[in-house]
Amino acid sequence: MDLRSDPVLERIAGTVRDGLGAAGAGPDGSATLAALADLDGFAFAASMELGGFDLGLSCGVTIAVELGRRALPDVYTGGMLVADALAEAADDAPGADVAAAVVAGKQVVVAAGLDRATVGDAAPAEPSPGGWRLPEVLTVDDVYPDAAVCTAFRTGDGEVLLAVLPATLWRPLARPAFPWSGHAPSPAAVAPGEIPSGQVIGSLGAGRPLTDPAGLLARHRVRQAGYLLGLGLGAHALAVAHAAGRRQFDRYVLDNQAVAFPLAKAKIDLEAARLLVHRAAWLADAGGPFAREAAEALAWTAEVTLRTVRTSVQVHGARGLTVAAPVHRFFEVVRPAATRLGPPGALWRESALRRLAEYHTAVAERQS
Amino acid sequence: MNFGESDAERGLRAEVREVLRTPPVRGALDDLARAMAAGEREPDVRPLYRAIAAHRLFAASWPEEYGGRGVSHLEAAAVIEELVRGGMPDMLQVLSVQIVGLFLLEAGSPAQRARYLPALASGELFATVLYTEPEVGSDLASLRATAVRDGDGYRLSGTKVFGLKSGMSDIGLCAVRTGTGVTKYEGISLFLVDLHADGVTRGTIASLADEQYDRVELDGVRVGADALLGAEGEGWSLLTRCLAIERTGLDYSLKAARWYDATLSGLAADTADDALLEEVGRYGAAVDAARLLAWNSISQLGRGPLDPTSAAIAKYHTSETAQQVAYWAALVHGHGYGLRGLAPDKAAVLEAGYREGPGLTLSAGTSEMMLELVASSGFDRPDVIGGAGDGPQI
Repeated sequence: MDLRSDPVLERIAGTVRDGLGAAGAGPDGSATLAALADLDGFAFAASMELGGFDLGLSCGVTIAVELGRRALPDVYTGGMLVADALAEAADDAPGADVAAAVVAGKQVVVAAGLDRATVGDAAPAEPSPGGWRLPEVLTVDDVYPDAAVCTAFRTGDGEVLLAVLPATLWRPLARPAFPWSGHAPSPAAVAPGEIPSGQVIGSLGAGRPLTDPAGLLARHRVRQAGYLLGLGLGAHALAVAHAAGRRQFDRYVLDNQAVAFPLAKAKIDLEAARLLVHRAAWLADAGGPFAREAAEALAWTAEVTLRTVRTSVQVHGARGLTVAAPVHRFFEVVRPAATRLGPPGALWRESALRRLAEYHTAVAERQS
Repeated sequence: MNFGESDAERGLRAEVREVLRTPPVRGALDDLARAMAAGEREPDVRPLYRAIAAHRLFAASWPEEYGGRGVSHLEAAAVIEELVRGGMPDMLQVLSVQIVGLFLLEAGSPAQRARYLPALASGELFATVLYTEPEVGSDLASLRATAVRDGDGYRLSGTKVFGLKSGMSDIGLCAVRTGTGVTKYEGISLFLVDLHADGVTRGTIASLADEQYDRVELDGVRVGADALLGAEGEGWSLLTRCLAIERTGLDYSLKAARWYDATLSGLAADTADDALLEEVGRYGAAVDAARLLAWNSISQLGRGPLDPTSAAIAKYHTSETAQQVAYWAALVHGHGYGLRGLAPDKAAVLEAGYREGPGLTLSAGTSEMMLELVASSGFDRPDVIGGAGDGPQI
């Protein structure tokens, strides 16, 4: 195990960072989409069959980190879920047109339903003549005007399917939750209505934990963990910069251990998150099992980032609660991002089941 | 980043497992197990170490001329992981090889290397560190022990406390004051002291953990000029390097993993409630992260001096995690570790771990010092992927 940084990924990270730095970050994600598309950012990690460069999940994570670092709208991970599901699909396969548009940087996809369907407590969809009807509304991030939705839903026999819904097949129901701000993508409820069977693009399997035969869920979890990691790093950097430049009681705020130590602890937790996230991505790219590692990377990063953002807002004082302080946007974005693929508690329970099974299997093998 | 094993690492791990099955090593491991089962808190590990050292696996990263195999730090870490997983207690190896030996490799003179390193690699000699003193604590630069010129050598005097394994060691890497300067960081020198020499008195300080703290009195101990490491009065910078080497976190990460596995051995998925399952997952990830942080530090060793911030991050997380796992195990398995029918050998591991835990966040730099190091030097690190960078421009 040699954990020195990969220079190729470092260069990609720097390129994406610079490109996104020039993008104005609006709540609808248009500028972010344009900036990432200009870099061919959507092609880096996509399969060659879809016109991508096939640089792997590690590369996808790197891009997600850079989006999160600036609390930019997540215009990336939902599209990559579709691209993964259709990585080897024929041109006329359901959703293949959406996947191709994603890779070309012309289509934003937001993921929905994964928080309920993947942790086992979602009500099953009702079969209908043309496909399925969901029993409840979905919540998505309102990041782009004409976004498609990639939704997960549970069928009556316990299988979890993925379907892609173009903008014509869903409609928003709710207003943004942070109307006072306008600086961050906000959750919106959507009613998908009927899910035509022709829009189904893949399966996440069945059971508890989900079998996830193609690793679609695990890969999506790792990218989401990357986005969260970026959020944590970005908020932390803002807090350090603020505390290092602001003077109170005739000294810099950062010179107080009561301020510096929580930031140091956050730095340590984020470094652990960085390694957990990149390990899961590396295992995926190496073709090994990585379901547990993906779940843990996401759960760890969600909890650490939520704590880090809280600390970072606190370090800013009252001004951190105003829209004038950039850290406020991290506060808004992290909440839906931390649970979009299920609450961390559910992920930890899934991880525990896998760990206990692995442990007792290994013991039994040694004894035999 | 490469999270997989190289062919060399895989081969070394397989070889270690073979060595652990050889009669001399197996016999020494069994002797240790019997001694511990009989209640001996700190059995003599030296016969085991010598049996392992016979295969040149004890200091594998050292050059062959010094008794090693010249493998990389990463490959040597794989050897240590496998030895510890196979039952080798590591404290004396950490002190002798990973701390004093590595320090000698980095800062010792050719003569000092030739004299000590082969003997340390073979288990002929063992070494420990003699740093802190009564009332000094973590503020090492406040040390009071002295070395005064005596002809062509020096005489060392003072009291060193809270070291480990002095009773089984032959030499001590000793920090003393040879002068004063503008700051207290000047005038500190490092010596290699023969612990069998006249004027050395070794004792122990009764403490919670199985491994007892030492108290070493130096009463005018005569050493030659060749015992001085580096230049006289410039020991602080060497000491700083040496302390970073102690903080890769590998040893703490192995303790965390051992105690976590022992805890799991008494748990089953169908009898664990949701709250316990969440803890199993959360602590498991923390233990994995500990290993990754340790290997992240070790990965840097091959490309120059260990970055103190990375070392502090690794040391903090690995030691805190090991300690927390030991405490969690006590809660999960209850009084006497008997709540869930844990096997006696696993209960003994966790019992010892609970008492060892508090020392982990003190030794090799307290957790508070690690946070101070991260806060003072880590925030401005232009990190690689995932690092802080220049901060978001939004």
